[in-house]
Amino acid sequence: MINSSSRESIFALSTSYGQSAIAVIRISGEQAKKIAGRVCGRTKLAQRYAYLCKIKDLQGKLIDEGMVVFFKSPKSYTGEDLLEIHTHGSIAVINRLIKVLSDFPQTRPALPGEFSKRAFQNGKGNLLKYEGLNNLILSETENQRLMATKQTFGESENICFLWREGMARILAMIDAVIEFSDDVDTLELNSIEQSIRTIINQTHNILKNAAVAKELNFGFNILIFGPPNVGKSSFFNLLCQDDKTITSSLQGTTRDQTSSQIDLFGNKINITDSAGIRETRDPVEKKGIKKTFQSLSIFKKLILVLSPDSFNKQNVDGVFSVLKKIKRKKMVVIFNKTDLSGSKRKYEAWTKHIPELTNYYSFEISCKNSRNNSKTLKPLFDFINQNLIAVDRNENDDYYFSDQRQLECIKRINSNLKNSLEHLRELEISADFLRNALKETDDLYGRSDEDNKLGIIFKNFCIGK
Amino acid sequence: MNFDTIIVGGGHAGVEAATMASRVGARTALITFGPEDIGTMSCNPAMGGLGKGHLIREIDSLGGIIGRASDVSGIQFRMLNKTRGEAVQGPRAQIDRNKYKKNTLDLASNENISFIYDEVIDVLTFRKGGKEIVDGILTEKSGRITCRTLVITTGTFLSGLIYRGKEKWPAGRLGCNPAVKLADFFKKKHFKIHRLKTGTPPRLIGKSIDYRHCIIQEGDENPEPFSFLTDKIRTKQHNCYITHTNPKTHKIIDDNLDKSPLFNGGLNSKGPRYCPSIEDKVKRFEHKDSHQIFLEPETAEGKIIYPNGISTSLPTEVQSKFLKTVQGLKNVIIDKYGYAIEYDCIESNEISDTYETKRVEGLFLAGQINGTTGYEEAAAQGLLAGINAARKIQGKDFFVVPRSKGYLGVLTSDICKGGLLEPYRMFTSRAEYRLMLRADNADERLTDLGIKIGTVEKERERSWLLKKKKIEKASKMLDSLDASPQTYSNFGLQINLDGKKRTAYEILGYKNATWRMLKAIWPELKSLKLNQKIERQIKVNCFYSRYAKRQITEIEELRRDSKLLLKRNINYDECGGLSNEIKEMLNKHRPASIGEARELPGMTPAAAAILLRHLKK
Repeated sequence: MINSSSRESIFALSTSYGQSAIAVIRISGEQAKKIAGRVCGRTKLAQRYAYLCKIKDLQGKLIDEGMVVFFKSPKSYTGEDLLEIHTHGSIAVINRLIKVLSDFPQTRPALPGEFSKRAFQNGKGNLLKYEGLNNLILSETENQRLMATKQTFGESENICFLWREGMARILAMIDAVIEFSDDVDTLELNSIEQSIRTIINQTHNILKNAAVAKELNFGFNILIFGPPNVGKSSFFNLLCQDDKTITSSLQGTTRDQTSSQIDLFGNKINITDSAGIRETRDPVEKKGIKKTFQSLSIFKKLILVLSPDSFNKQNVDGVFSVLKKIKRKKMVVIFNKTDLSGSKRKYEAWTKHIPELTNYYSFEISCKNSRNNSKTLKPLFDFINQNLIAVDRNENDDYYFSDQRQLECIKRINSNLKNSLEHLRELEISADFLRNALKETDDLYGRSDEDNKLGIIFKNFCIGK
Repeated sequence: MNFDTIIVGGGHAGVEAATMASRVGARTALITFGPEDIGTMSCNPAMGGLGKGHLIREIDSLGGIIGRASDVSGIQFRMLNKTRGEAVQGPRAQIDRNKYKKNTLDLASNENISFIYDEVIDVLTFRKGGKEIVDGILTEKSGRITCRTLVITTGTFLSGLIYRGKEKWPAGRLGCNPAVKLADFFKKKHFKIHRLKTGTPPRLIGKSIDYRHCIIQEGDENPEPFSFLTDKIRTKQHNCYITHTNPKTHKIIDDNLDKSPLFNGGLNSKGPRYCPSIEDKVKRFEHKDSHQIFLEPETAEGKIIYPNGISTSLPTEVQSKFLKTVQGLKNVIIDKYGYAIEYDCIESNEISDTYETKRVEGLFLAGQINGTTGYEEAAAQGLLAGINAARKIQGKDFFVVPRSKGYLGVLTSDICKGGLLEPYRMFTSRAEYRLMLRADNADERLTDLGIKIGTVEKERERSWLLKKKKIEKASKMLDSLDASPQTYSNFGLQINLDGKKRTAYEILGYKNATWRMLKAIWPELKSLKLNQKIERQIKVNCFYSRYAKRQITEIEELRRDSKLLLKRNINYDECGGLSNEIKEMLNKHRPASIGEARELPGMTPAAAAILLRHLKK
């Protein structure tokens, strides 16, 4: 434990600030016990036992009645003594109690994430777990939660642990041959090669799926675009079930971009509406269109909205030139305004003039008539999910790593292992790359186990004169 | 009597410490029981190996004497891992232990050292400003001798206790008295002490061994010296032999395990895992029905043989019994029986990276007393402690070798961290910069430093500067020449024809490239007139520089960046690319340097890189 005695105790409101049934304030550190005595009137506390108590300020004036639970070090979240005070969820009570705790000697409000930091420093868990926990707390949709749960409760940790164990074992085998050439003279290069290759493949798959994993965790980013006045904003509002964007029949209404989040079959979707693509002199609108083009280059999933009344040469040229640029992106086409007469013919005209459109799945809808109509909305959501969201995902793949930090570590593990494999005939070079890979794995995990390496050698080889 | 620096102990640490202290300019005395203790090899008759050989080369590069003494005492030289890369090749030699003693004494006598033969019974200190400071030593015969700095290198002699079967008696090594009184000093001053153990095998009479049943182990055809000052090994080379234990041997050992203090609870302190006793090997690796025994002559005449691999503390009669089951040892006569020895050492975090103790100013500890094992590890510490003990008197900065510069640094930082779980031995795998810390380039890494602090002999300085000039000139020339892959290919090199020009320096680093080929392409290279040794050295440098570049950048970047200071008034909100959480965190903590920022919770390498970029703008 890191200087736990010289450290200040910290406290924080663990439930959200505002009116609710109960509020929980946690205190971690040496002062927790004293606070239980002074504030909760409990000098003797059995650990993990709930006590009803009167909560008082330091002058002995009553604040509230509540419950107090004590977790004794090291069996607590932070590894230090930890006290939970449960009060009624009143803003006034919370404010008063926080004031009282701030006045308590050697006690201060916790910095963001400080409870978890102390837990980590006191040897509880590893970085992956805390990153997962952070994702879990931030998760809004089912798939976000599923992935965060895997990260928090061990699956990503397990795979990482297996890599580390595998690499440490190989490195020990190589080092045993190097250090003790008189005692150990055989090295099974084939099995070493095999083991390294396995980890290379696993990390490779993770990196390949990184984009999907990130989307699962942080949301899928979808851009709605198209010529002016095709009903992009109406479509956007339909998806979001909300009149966020002003829609009117004037061209160029959406001059800036609007974004909204929706939960689509458990996936978090960030939808962005954009300004219609066309030539314009209006400086404000020009700026909006420029932004649309920037977004088109960034977003990987697009929805193109077209309408019968927008079919003209200018728009056809506009759409055509965009499609040329976005060849490698996932896109679907929405033919809007089916309520207009002759719409079918106009859609055919669109695809006839731009044959590339037939490469994409399309869906016909009238946003105007579909509002609050679950019969038309359900197929629309299914369509988007199938053709835009779920397309990259292989149901057999598991996704554990989503944070940029993790992915960068894995990238380096992968490249170091490839180099290690390539130099397997020059053992010391191979070992050097392997050692780097191991270090990266330790970084990924947030803990290192340098001393264990020699242990593996001595356990497995009879060494020494 | 009065000296600047006194060294207690004449073993491998003591000798180097005394040599260095006197070279740095301190009036130096070395005190030990008797002249016969100087340069004693109390365990196996060999020097060097992986990691250990690297240490010898580094000590030698700074002017130490272990390498030169070994070169003139060696009776079989072998470069370990000769078929592997140079970074993991370690020079090793069997040593005639009598010659080694004599040669060490000769070399040390050439230095400006006063030898005192006496027993140290106490360390004298005084207090000043709340600090305990060394004042001198109290000896059995000469009484009080004062000094300003003191280096204690007493090896296994502190409260040494020998175990064999049921017997147990105090000793420093077989036949020598332990230093019990000196051990009391450390207890009195509340040094944290722990006990370690090690073991040694029986010694055999050479004539009683039937070598016809053993495997011959020859030395290298062209023995390579340890010291950069030795041009050629001139001693006669001898063979070693290998024989093996067998199930019969193991049965006898197994049946008598309860008589070994290592197993019957008599001796519980920690021993080295890499030097297990034969009892240990038989017990822990039951599935192996044979273990190697290396029969190593203790002297050129081969009168006494050291059977390496069977250290034991079994009772004498069991030792004779199991030995006689071994091929070639049927009629063996034992000269001295094996034993285990348990001794005090000082918890190694009592010293700082200068080898000075934190408790008593002016007191330095080096060698096995710090919990290490091995002649080379001891000599390395002695060298560094001796240098620093002398520099302290002169008010100069301490001499500390960084981990990236040598095994000396790896050793120092590993041990002064404390918490050693077993006697510490050097391995190449302990060095994170193994590819750069090679036995072949020790002089390139260290001799300039040695010249600066005055530990390097005139002769070495002269020859090194000459060599350095040649290497630098050649490297520069190689770096200035480049050619297309097609050209190299035309001269017979297998190379990727990617059209990229490569310098001659890069190309020489290819395994299959040769000087001869480069000279054919660029005849002007012939004007360098390099001897074979230097040509080989440059080729090795070229080869590793391809891989070491990454390591070097890593070291330099870490060192440079960590020190970059962050202004207290930076507005982190303006650092593009940082997440809001990290901005908030930086605004709150206001780290003083990049190094400090890296340590902050939630700081990612990517964020540190962004910060770095922002700072450099």
